[in-house]
Amino acid sequence: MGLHTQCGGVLIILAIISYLINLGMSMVKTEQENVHAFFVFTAAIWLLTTTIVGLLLVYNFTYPVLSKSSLYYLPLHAHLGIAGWFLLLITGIGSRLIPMFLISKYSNNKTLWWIYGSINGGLLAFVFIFLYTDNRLLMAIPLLAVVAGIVLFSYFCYQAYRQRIRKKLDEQMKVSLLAVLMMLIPVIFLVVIIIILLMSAKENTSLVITYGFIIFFGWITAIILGMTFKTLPFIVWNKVYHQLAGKGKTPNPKDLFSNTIFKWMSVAYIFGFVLFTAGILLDFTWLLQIAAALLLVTALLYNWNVIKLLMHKPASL
Amino acid sequence: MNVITNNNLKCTIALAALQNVEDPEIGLNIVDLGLVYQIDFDETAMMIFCTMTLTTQFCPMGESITNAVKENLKLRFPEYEPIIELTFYPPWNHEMISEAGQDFLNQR
Repeated sequence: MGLHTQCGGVLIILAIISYLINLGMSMVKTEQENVHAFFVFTAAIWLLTTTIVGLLLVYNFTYPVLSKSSLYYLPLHAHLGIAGWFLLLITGIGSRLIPMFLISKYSNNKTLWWIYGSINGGLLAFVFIFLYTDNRLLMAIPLLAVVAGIVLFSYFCYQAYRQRIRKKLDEQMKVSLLAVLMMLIPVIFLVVIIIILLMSAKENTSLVITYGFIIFFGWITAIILGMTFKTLPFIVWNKVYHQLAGKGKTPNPKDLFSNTIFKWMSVAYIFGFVLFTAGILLDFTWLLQIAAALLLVTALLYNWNVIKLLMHKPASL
Repeated sequence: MNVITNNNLKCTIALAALQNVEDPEIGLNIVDLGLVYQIDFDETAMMIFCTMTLTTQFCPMGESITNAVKENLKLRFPEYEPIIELTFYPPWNHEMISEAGQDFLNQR
């Protein structure tokens, strides 16, 4: 690959290093132990690791810096990014935001440390097994460790849900909790893929494509759709109404976007996701086209609501 | 809801004023939520010292809530200067919510 790609990769790494330094300095200044900060910091270290691997893969196309072809290392690069960066970041931040927005009595740092240990232990085992052994059966070790982390995180969120003080769930929290449940779907797919690989040396391409799709369009997308409308309204509200607090009736953060649009967005997303998954597995082009249109509608409605939020003007008090 | 005070009458008036301040996420006022711990009146310096907490240390609305508390106290006691102190000891918990607040949250 060309010089531009190589320079771009180096700049991304420098940006991540700067981000890590900033995070580290914030953590040093914190007096209390904060397990969530460890999740975020470690996620950033995995991001740095996977980016370095990515850069090596880019150089490997031109100069042989690695012992095998770049394509061979792609699963390593992808899984460090997905489990190391996305999963760790989302579990770390989710374990703070989900109980907070549920107004839950539940708190359990011990469980969070177990989740942290399981995911990171699984990732370290994955790297070691990928690089130093050819025994595919050993991949069950990191898989089980990461699954344990995901199951524990689901349990943590379930306890937070059960012990919530406010009984009624808003639409945004419903979608966010659905995202937690959706984390288990790629795990099931991965188990099926591994079993098929062990039984026959041939890869099932449609299962592998579905696996990738349900990660990015499953829990990662769902948690972004839900949490955007739990966090962004507060940021905008604070900017617009901060000086007006207590001086008259102000709208609530949830009034800054349209809940109706959010509901339609959620319906389009769920149907789009289910139909697209079915479309890949059944290889029905028309189903994929309908599902793609629904996912496009989801994206348009999401943007509509985000723009509505960002363009909010203060009502005269 | 046990608010510590050195002036029961004025504290009751202050708490009535603070019932106008809502936690925007929960939709319940901060008095029924049990966020107000102590309100003292200094008659010499003409100051009100209000010690309160938030439902979580990471509450994104913290500054807006304390500003609203200040404004409402100023409005009700114009001759006093309100000083708001945030504390997280003891940390807020659901047992601090008043009965009326519990009823409100059970219905929502």
